[in-house]
Amino acid sequence: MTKHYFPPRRPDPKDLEKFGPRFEIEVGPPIIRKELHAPISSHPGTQRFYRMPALIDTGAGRTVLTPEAIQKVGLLLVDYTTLSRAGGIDKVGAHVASIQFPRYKLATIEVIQVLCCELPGELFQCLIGRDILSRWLLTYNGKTGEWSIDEEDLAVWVEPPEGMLT
Amino acid sequence: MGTAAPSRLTVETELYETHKAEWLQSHRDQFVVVKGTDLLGFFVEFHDAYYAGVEKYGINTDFLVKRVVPQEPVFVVF
Repeated sequence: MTKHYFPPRRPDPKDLEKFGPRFEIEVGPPIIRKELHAPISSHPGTQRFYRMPALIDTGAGRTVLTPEAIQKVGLLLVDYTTLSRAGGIDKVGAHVASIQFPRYKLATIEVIQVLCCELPGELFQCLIGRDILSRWLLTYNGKTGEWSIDEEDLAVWVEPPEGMLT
Repeated sequence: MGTAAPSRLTVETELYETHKAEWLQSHRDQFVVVKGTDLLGFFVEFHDAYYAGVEKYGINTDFLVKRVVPQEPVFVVF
């Protein structure tokens, strides 16, 4: 079990209260390690990964990225699904991505579906939802301004079975 | 809907809707992979379905990976 403490600088309870648990992630196309028989036209060296701020959101059933982030990374579409949020119900795109945690030794998520949705403000471009949180032990200490993620091992991680994440 | 322009996966989605009742009988809860009107197959896990799609169609093109369920899920973001 590895424990990762946030924020990297001195904790500030007011900052955590105001903005929530945020950290930096890198989003890119899905990482394909499986040996494939057909040639893959995208070469690993040309794959684009973009660093962006993310907010941990226990109220999100699925991880969400803004349309701008999805466009910047060039994530491909695999489905449409229905997303219910404060502004109403929308039909949104489901894209496939990988997510890395550059400052932390959290396991890379090699294949995950992310939903495309506008997010308020510019403080974060990604909501880390319960699909990813199902992998971690999240501790939130509002009194000290610290929060942490415990992860059991560094095994690579792919999309979990559906059914419990709505 | 952001980058998911309505024209993307239209043919695939229509094909899914056309065959949904039939597939619910034989492949309920599995993931179907479709590109254009080409049905690649059904898979138990999403990542197996996605890998199969990449193997067949490549990594630089959209293809549909959809779970065959009677009612489409609604994901919630609070």
